[in-house]
Amino acid sequence: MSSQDIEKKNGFAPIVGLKYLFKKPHTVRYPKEDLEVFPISGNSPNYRGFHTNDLEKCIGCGNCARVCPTDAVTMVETTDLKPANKFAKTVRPVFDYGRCCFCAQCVDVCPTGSLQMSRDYIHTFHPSVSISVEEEPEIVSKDFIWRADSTHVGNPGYVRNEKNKFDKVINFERTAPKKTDPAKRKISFSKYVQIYSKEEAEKEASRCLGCGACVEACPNELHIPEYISAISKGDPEESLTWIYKRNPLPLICGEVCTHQCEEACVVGIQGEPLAIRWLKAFSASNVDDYLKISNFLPKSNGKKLAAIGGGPASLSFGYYARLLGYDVTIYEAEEKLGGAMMWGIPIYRLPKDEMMKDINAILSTRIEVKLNTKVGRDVKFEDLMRSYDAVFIGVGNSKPMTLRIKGEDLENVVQGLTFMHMVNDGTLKDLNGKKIVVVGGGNVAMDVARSSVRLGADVTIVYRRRIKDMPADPEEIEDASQEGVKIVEMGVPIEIYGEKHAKEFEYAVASLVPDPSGGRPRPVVDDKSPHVKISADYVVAAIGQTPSIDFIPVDIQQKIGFDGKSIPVDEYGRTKVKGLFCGGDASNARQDIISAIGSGMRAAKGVEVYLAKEEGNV
Amino acid sequence: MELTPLNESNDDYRYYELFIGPNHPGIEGNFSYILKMKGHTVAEATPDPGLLHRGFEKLMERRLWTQNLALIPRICVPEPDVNEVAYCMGIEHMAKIEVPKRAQYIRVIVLELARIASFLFGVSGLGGTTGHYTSAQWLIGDRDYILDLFEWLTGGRVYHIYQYPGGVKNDLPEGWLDKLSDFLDYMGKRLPEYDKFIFKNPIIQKRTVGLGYISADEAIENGLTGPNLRASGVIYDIRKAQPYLVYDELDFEIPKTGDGDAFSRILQRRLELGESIKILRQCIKQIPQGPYRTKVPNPFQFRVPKGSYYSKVESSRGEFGYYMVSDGDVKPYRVYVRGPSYSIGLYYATKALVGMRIEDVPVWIHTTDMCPPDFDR
Repeated sequence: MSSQDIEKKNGFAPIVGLKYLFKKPHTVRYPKEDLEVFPISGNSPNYRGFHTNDLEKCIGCGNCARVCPTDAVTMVETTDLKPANKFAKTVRPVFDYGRCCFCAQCVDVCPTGSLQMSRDYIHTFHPSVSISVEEEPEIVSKDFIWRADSTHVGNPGYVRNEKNKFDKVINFERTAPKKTDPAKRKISFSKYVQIYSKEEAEKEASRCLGCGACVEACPNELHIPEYISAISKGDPEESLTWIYKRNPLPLICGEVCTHQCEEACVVGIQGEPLAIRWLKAFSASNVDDYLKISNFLPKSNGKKLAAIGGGPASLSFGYYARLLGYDVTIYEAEEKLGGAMMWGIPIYRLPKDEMMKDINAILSTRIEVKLNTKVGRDVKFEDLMRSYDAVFIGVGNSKPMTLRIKGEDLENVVQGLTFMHMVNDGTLKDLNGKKIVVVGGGNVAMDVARSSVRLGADVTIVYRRRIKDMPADPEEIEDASQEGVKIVEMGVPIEIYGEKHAKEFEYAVASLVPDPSGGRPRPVVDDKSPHVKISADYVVAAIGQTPSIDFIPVDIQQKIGFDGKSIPVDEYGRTKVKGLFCGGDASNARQDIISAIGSGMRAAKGVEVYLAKEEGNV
Repeated sequence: MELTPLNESNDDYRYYELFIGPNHPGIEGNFSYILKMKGHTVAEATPDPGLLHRGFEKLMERRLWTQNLALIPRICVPEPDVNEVAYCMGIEHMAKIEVPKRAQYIRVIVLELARIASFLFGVSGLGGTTGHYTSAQWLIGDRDYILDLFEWLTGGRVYHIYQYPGGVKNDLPEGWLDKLSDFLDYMGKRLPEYDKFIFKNPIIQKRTVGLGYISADEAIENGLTGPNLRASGVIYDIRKAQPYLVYDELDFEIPKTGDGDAFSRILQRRLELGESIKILRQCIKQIPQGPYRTKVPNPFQFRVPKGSYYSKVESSRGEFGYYMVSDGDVKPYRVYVRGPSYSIGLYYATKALVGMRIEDVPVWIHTTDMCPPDFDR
């Protein structure tokens, strides 16, 4: 109909409406009838009604509460829940429908997919509306505040489609750092993982939800969301400032940290966790001068502290004690600082210049270092205790555990850390054509195996449980097998044969028996287990170490309660002897760099508390 | 004591004040005009906004870019989608995000459906002010069919919260386009009935023809946009003038009325409705397969690069604009909303209403299809 036709006035035209007197109405008589437009009658299939939450799948990360534009979500403590994983919190969301606007943004950012919306929407408030919260708090909270459980679970509405990647607001795919090809990297000791470029880092950082689940998993509780957010903003300096608050070795941790944080990352539940470690490496390597961002250095307060050992624990202790105004002296037995980081970690993972960048920044805060000074040999421990206000032990683990099998005393049967020391100081240069058996499944075993591959050897790792039980970083295991390291699962060492040198290595293939106390399954060798012999020019036992504190007089050793495995300390790193503190692998259950840094930092605070008490200031 | 003479020379006697709104059925939304009346005739009209007290623009500065998506549809209830699309288009322009073709088509579908829904809602209001209640019920009933489609597509009937920077939240559900096609067929049948029942109706014509004439010059000078401008004979439509989304790939015309009175304003809308149906039919045919969203960082890390942009969309009322300033953070630095009713409802009304009879005021308001939340945001 053209506009002229419409404009024509016609008194009879409206009669057309009369026929609707005899037609059915537009409306449906709910609840007797329902809308029939949708594939299922009632509301639409993805209606945004009341929430449902699978309380056992939910990990309490609180992202729903943080994204809620109306502040309708509160996280409350719950009891009797079977957590989804060991990092799950005990809080769960509760929805106040007096505030909720049903926008479904909480569902979009739920990293576990436990939070969904149902097609239910009827929200009758049966008592009189005039009732006040003070009069009937229970009724009000029952009707207006929803504890999202499985009540509406049979009527799902707005849910995130698992298969459809566009449906997800969270980015679940990791930006992997560039790695050198296995064939190329296995012939050289140069670093094979490239640090992120700016674009890669910003892309990866922008996946972070900022919930901080990682912070609780980190042994030293670094400000992870803050420094990732700074990277995403494009400001590595701000990022490093955040890192430095709790970690003075950012580049080292960026390269070789055990990244417990990534295990806790909520994005990792349905996708790949954020590469938190590589992001830290990005920040640290993009700031040339750490001192520019490091904290204001106070004047010396005249008190003197000694740290025994030059590893991460002592460095961290020294740095944070220096920030508190103390004069710190580090006693290192070797010719270089760094401890296990210097001698234990191969340079393809942690180049020494990168390591020295971190260490030099710490030393530039005017910390005194005495190299080639072994306490007990060059200096007496008692003298240290006498001449310093407090002493920190950060000696790490240097006494290797033994295999306790026949043939262990043969030549060419070496311990993992000794082997790595030989590789790092250059005494071991060529293993071309040699056959090497590595016993163990930790990161040291991987380092030994992969270093040997780079020296030209043919390497077999023998581990007594399954590959998935290995304590080593899964990424390390994968990279090692890419480089041609053979891994034997459930192999229990039996004997090493040879006259003077090791020649053959025998292991038995064990069967796994579940541990009744709930731990990891135990390998058991019985008469039926098949025995395998393989030839070996070197056998390297990388099955762990214990601290060696022979430099401490026996009476003090007894006083601090050393049990041969670790030194007991309290939360501030205090031992049972006044003025004696301890940190690092010698006292930590988790024997890694970040725990050592944490214990060093706590010990620095402990010293402050201790000295204040001594002076009667507290 | 001298008594005030009760005659024409006394202003207090000649004029009286009348509040039209906010609880007057003849006003749209939560808004009022304070009219100074002389007898039956308006002598002076003062708009009185501020009753909504919403402070949207300020609220937006305190929320994440994507959190605002739950807030902005509420600026305009009858046609919320223009807000979402304009806001997302602005973000996409500043952050240089490319929107997939399919998402652009879906946006056009949503916008045109919203235009139809808004027309139905607006003209039903006219039914209320002219005492033509049957038409109000017809149109509101038909609008519900659109809401059903929206509910299926987005999960909500009125506030869809469906647009997202980089595209739309979900893909079109299976069978949805068929239902849309059915609805268009239904509308095609209903339109001639509307014409007979409403537009040819002598009562409606008596009330609207010749009322509130706006000349083309006046319309331009006062910044009117949309059907109100086009009804005065100025053919300007952003969809044609500066095509956004995929409007340049679609074949449609801007209908011409041009009498400038109240009747031509509703007629203009009615004719544009026919074009909307034409656009929707083309979209159903042309919509390509493929992704419907470009991945953007999650809400907590979504930063829009430093800059500013004025993004505009042709809504059913005219140009709906969002001026957005970003300082590169996760929250907008400033968002300014420029609703199309701003010029006519708040500014031009003070001139247009003068000299009008009181019973014509609600009719005039409804034929301009103004929406007070546009200026009381």
